[in-house]
Amino acid sequence: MKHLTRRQALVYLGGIAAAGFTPAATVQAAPSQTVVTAAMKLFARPETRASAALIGQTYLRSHPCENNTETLIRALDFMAGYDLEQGDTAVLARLYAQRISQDFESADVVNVDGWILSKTEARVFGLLALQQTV
Amino acid sequence: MAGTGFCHQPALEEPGMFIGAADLQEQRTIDTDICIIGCGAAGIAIARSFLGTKTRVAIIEGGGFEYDAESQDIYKGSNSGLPYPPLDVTRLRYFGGSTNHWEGQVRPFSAADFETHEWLPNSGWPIKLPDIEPYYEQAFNICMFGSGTYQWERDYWLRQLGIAHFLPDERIFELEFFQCMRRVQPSWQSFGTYVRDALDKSENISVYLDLNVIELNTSEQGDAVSSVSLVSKSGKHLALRARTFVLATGGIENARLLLVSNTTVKEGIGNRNGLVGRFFCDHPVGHAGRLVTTERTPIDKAFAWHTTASGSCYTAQLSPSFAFRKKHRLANCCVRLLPAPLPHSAGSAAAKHIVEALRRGEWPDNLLSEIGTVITDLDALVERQYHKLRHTRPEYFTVWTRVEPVPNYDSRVALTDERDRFGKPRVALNWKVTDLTQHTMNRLANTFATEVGRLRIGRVQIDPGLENDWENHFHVGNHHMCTTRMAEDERNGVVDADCKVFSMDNLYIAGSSVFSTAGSGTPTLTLVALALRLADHLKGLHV
Ligand SMILES: Cc1cc2nc3c(=O)[nH]c(=O)nc-3n(C[C@H](O)[C@H](O)[C@H](O)COP(=O)(O)OP(=O)(O)OC[C@H]3O[C@@H](n4cnc5c(N)ncnc54)[C@H](O)[C@@H]3O)c2cc1C
Repeated sequence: MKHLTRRQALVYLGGIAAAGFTPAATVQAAPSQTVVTAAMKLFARPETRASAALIGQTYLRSHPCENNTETLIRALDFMAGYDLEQGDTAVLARLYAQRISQDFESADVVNVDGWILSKTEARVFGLLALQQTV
Repeated sequence: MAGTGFCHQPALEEPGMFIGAADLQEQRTIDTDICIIGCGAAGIAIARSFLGTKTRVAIIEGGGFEYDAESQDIYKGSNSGLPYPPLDVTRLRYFGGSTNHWEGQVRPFSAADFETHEWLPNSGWPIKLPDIEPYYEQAFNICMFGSGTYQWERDYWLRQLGIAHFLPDERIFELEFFQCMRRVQPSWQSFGTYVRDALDKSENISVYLDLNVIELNTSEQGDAVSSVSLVSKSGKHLALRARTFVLATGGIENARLLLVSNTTVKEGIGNRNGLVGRFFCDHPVGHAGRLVTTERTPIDKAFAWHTTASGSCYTAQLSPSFAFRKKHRLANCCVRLLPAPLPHSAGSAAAKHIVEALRRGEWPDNLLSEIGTVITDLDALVERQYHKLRHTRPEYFTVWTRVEPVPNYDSRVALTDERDRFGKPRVALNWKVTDLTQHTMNRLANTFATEVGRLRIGRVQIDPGLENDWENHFHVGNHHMCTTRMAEDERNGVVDADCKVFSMDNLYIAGSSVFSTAGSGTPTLTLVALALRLADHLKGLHV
């Protein structure tokens, strides 16, 4: 199994911080597609998205029952209501960060290759991993 | 001392000095009021309390002023338990004892450390924090050699650091501070160096060097120590008689000396219930993982070592709150952050390219893609160069943990068939820890990782060894504890609340061997405080 390096973790963490400054993407209508687009917007830079996807692959390997887009989209439905047309990405990033904090608050965490991650972020990475393989 | 053929000579013809074994007559018997066996932190603390009193005190020290391989050899022993440093490495056998190589980090035990907790087997002391608290400040001054501030309030230290708020969830973690003097005055770190002058000038205290206690001799009834048998390095035999004896030879050797003293009491002194040497423990210390930080937080400031105006040092640690430990049925434990040492990286063309760019003060655009092509330790090289050039703090830390070892009857110090140069059995260690100890370390690491995420400080990667290969994963603190533990009664321990060996009239024990439980902190401040308390008790007997 390929281990995640500290660099990959840093890149992805940097991705979170940078998400608010990412330019807006194309508007999507269907809620399921909205979740995918929102995840891509959070990780707009190719290298941060690649790192996140790598972590996501590891997550999906250890959580095979979530290894499909529908399940992940359902689990991430808090992003479905995000208005891509109106909303700016900073709002999305804040929403995402809030969810992560809530996860940590309620100890809703997962161990991905030793990294203790919020369930939400692991699922977003999982979704990005599935998008890469599409 | 019937039938030993020793001639009785008046005691301490030249009291108040250091006396080498070479200057002593063969077969001499020394008489004194109090005999302290061992001149380490515990023995020194007691002797110091008697400076300038009318009580005659003799300290018997097996080593000299300097390290000596022959003396050290007596500490050799075997270990059949968990991995442990060799027994002649984990302690030192000369004047000043193991403080000749200690780190000097101190913090008092908490009130909860003395209490009985139903989820912690064998927990609870017969004394409580208020019994020892009056001695902590004096003990602190001895351990810190007069430097430092006797202050443990979190907010006091946060103010010193200029940190307005560092707010781990207080229901989960408490921020605590440790102090240390070592980094300021390494040459002072030994208790021996610190007290040598005072002992030399003393009129009532004599320190006998290079003289080894090989057995405690008891009365025929076996209820009091009448004398101790001594052998010098060169093989001279002597004896010492006293009204009171204090065994202060360290957490392993205290048990060994009781066990080898079996001429009259076959099972060894104080060992009617087979408890001498039982419950041996040390603090498991482990690198639980690493923390990657995302942005500047006060965390690196709090967890670095800082120097005070008085010359001491301090640093922070996080301990799970008592309520949290109770809820999750955990032993005491703590976590610290160490700036992670960066591994040496292998060079490669890609590395050179990146490093050259960094040298020019650039953070190259293609860095991340280049990084993807090189190995992990190259990653560290780049990181190091970047920090060197930009003068930034490290972005990742080692998550360091220390756990209270849960008292374990099966973990013990016993005797082997192998003998030392004086013909006495060597020590056999069989160190074991309970599952609860391991569980505590794992839980601590996971809780810390979650709290770090909640605080938006970064993310923690837990070391897989913590789960898969725990026994080989942790180190130890070199804190030898609980082998002659204090208890309410003889069925549960070896000494009573006054540190007196049950069933013996005049034999006391000083050192961390008397700890009933180990806490999660370092032991020396507490063992010195207990020694001072014992000295007070002995003063009451010797006026
Ligand atoms: C590397 C290291 C780092 C440490 N760091 C810390 C720390 O940061 N904080 C902390 O609190 N603790 C620390 N410790 C533990 C600390 O050193 C001990 O708790 C302390 O020194 C114990 O003091 P003691 O007087 O009980 O025993 P000892 O220091 O072991 O002294 C016993 C004395 O008895 C003498 N002796 C032994 N047998 C005989 C005999 N048969 N006859 C005559 N004399 C004898 C010995 O020569 C010795 O001088 C550390 C230990 C090590 C090894």
